Amino acid sequence: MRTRVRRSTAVAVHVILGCLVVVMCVPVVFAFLKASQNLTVSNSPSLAPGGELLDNVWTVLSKYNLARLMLNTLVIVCCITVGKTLLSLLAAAAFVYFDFPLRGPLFVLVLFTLMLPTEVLVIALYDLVTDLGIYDTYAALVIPFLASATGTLLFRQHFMKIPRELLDSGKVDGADPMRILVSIVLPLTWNVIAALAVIEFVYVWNAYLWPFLVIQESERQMVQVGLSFLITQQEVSHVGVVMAGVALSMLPPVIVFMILQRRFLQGFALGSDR
Amino acid sequence: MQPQQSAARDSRSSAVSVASVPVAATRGHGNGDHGNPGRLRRPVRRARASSGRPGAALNGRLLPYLLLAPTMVVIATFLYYPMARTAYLSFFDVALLGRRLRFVGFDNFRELFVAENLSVVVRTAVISGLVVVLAIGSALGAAALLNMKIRGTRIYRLLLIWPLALSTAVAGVMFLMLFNPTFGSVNVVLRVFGVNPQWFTKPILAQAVLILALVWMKFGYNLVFYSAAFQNLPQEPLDAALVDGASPWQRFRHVTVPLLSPVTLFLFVTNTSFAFFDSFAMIHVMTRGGPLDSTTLMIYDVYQNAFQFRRTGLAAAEAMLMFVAVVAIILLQLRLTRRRVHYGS
Repeated sequence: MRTRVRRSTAVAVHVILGCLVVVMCVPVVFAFLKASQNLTVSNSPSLAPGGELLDNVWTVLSKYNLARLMLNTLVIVCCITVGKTLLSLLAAAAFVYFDFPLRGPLFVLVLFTLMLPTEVLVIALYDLVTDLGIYDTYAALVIPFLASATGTLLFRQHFMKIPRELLDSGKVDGADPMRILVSIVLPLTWNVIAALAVIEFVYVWNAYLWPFLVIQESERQMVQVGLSFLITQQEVSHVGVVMAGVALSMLPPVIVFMILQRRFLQGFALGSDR
Repeated sequence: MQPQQSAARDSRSSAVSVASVPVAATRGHGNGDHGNPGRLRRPVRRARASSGRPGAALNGRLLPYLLLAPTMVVIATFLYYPMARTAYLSFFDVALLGRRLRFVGFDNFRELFVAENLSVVVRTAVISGLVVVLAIGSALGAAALLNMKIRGTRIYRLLLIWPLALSTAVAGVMFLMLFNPTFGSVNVVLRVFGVNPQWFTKPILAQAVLILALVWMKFGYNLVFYSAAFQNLPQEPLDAALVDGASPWQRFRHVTVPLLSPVTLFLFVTNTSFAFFDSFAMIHVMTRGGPLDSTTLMIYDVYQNAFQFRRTGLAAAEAMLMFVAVVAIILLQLRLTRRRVHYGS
């Protein structure tokens, strides 16, 4: 039973929520308006929408190379997502479907990584990546993030809900374990894979500290770090171009959010990392 | 990359709708059932969880190790080794780009608690604390309002949560521009009242913008969890309070808020780790730690010490301190949550 709301209270609530919506949306509306203005207008306080949006987008994509950085980011997102999904599927299958002496300790090792924020490891990770000879390469952006405690736990949870009888039927037919996993378990798992993919997409797309540290060559950089280049080069000279960059780099995750709202929130709730 | 409490994640599954996630999480370790990893390791429990018969579903002595090998290699190489190495380095003075190590005991840690380093630690604690309290408090308030019987709550919720898809760097650039004294809209409004603050040259103002931007970023995330939790609140205690004549504020303060405490504790962990670590991009984009180091939080200081000032040992000690703080907060949260779970099973 929710309490009935008096009319005056309802009006007050609408006003407060309305103000909150304004606060949440103003920075983004501001960014899009500025992105549409030409050089002189965008560097003034004016908020009048201009007609330069496409020009600014073109400038930032080509002259400031954001197209390349977005492509880099997309490639890295794909590599990490595919790799993580594969590795955590295999690990989860081992934990759920097999009995082996080291299962307990190994599971604890995976579980504990949830408490290890990569940010506190950057110093040693940087040296390690340098020693391995993958400094300033895509490999440095991908390989350290291929293992996933979140993914492993997610798939493990899902596997435990698949009825054992389904697997037994495979065993009766004489299929070997890998075949059972691929032909019986995998088809039931696409939903979870999609949820994980959404988490990874947003998480990797928004990565900042690690690519900033480990990528030297700006051609290979990821999109969020590219924004900071834009500021140092452009802040005072053309706000419209900077904001076009901001608008472009926020679009992919926001589009994913709008289209897959439910799945996105599901994935988001499951953990926006690793 | 945020450390989060493990058991809660463990008990979530994809089939759980968003609305029920925090509740599922709390139930998981509240009842010690399927969410408790310790028990799951026992074969009998595991078997019961799947079909009621003991034993492994699939056979193979080497196969499970092969399946686990890639994950274990990556975890060992890129998580556990760097962790151990960071801990090791924190006891050394590192010179010549890492080629010479001199053991210094706890000197690096001691150095963290004197002079400028101490002010970085204190600043980080204060600013993170403010961000966490404001982000959680505002989201709790908004979720309470969204839970009232008024029109349009769905559209309000969508408009309020969507910025959670944005990155910290994007938010940083937007706030930098919005608060620009020349063309930013904030100063356009303030000039009407005769003031034109230079946000990024006065320490206290720069800190205020940083806090505001971080709260703005985390608000939507917190709101998602709180609105889900509100929808799953048990009605009986609220009805009972109503019958007893409690005012709306009393019901909120003494019934709703305690019922929400597991979610609040969970958000406390995720928000703290956000303020600790994700603030890097915000600081780097907006202020580079300035003016006068006023927005240099620990994670930014770690970066500066390690990669600009080449004080690797000190940076490692600082990173370890952050790690210990995060683990302490996670353990505290797990403990408190276990003690006071308010959702009925």
